[in-house]
Amino acid sequence: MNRKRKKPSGISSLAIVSAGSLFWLSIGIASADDVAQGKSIATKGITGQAPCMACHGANGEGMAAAGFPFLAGLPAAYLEAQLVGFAQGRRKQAVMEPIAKALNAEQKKAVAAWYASLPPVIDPGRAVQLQDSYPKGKMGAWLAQRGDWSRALPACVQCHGPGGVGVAPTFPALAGQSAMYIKNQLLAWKTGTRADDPHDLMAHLARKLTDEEIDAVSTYFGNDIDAVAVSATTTQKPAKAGEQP
Amino acid sequence: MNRLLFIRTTRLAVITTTACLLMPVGSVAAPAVSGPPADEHAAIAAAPGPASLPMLAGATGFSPPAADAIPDSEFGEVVRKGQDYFLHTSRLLPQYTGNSLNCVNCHIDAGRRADSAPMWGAYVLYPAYRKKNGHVNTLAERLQGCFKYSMNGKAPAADSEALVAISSYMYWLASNAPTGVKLAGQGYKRLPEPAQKMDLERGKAVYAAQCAVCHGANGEGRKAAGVTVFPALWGDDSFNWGAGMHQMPNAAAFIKANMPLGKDNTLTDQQAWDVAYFMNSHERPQDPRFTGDVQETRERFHAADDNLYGRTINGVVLGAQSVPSGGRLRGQGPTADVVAK
Repeated sequence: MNRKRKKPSGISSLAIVSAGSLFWLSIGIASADDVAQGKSIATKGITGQAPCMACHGANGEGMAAAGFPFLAGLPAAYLEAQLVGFAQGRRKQAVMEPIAKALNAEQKKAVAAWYASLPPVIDPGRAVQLQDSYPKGKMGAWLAQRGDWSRALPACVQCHGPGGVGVAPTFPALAGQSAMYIKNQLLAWKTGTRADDPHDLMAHLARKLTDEEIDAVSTYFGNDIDAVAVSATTTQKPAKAGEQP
Repeated sequence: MNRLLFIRTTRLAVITTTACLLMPVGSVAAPAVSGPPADEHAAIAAAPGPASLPMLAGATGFSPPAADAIPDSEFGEVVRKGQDYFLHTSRLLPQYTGNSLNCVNCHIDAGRRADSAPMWGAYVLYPAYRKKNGHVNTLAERLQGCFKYSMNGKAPAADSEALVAISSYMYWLASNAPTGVKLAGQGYKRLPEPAQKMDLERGKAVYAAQCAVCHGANGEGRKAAGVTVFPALWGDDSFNWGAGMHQMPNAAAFIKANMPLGKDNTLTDQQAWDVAYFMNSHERPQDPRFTGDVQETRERFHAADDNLYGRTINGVVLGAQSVPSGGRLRGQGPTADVVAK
């Protein structure tokens, strides 16, 4: 929706600040200048650092085979918060940490604004089609769409939006990311090398997931949900009665 | 235990006064407070009083069938339809919903979760006599109240496809449950009285720290691609002044046992009370039973001490500035198909 973080987004960012998540403190107002500066950083890099596009693609589409995430169309506030997290060591990642440390606050904001301004990799308009309230017999889909409330485990979509399309400004899209990236993140949350979430919201859930569940849910968002979306456009409810006699 | 009972009874008095049809039980000796119980939604939402109902206690409690065990049959199809309505209420039933909430917002895990007013707990308590309208209400009539108040909408007809599907889903969830029994986990688990008087400023701080990240700084909730992800907690897109969740005991109990989502029971009781107070200190759509006079409406339906309707908060009389009920259905005829007076 609002890709350019102008005034309204600035205000909602301030709201987040008052929400007590220190992480989001530095998030402010981005402008067209930010977007232009961000583009320059993304495509040319800053002194001594590789440009973002080397790994995240010319259009911010990521590199699925290597587990590099797409950035295009993600909320600026989220992207900026990640750069802050990398720089402060709360999100540990050998490649990103030095880059994020080299970017000053203004540059972080700018590069976040640039990627937020790009056309999203996924089509949020498909969100409704990506809903599947009864994915019986599929562990990954069930965890994603329904969770496991016997363990107080909400469904992924309860925070990341229908089909995992993401909910600005805080919850990033899962649909469209590679299975490898999602798996790496869940493992990072689980082991504590990623700990930059508000209120431990994600980490405490990742700690409840078994390795098998992490595989299943990563595969679902990385691979399966696209298939669901395609068939959903024609049949709406795939596999109504088919898996089980 | 005696003390507990005493507290419960006191609370009960307050509740009944306010409004709740907490107790669909005719034989309960109602407290001698005048005014009909007001809140439709609470009948499902909250626990019936002690009363003549046997209690099925025990730590184990009742468990509904596995969520993925809906039968593969003609009946199962309708059950699944009901489940879909429950999860995607405002999208699938736009003709009855004035806001963009979904049943599942206040009945976690598709109405399965204990202490989140589970549907299996409610199902077995109907039909029930209700003081509110002085007659025996079927489950369908009870569900109509949910649409009118919590969904700020229009009641589906009792034999409508929507209510047939939703009640079928509830029936299936209650498979093998005894009827006429208050099952453990039914309703919202009432909290002890707050140790300190509920406080707006403390509640505001809890909200900012724990709730705003999802529900937004102004309680507006969040949507993705037009689909509600985090429900609006006040304002025109939220439940109206007749809904059970505007009552402090319900809201505090729900919040304590279910919020923040996935981190239930991490707030203190006091925090839950305070933040419930903060939430309900904001304007929301008018009570559909509005008499045209806020104080009169308060006396009739909102008389509990801790009910903020008609009270002045930050210089504003709550209820005085309310938009009429009905949300996006406003202007489309009466707020209910059914007259249940």
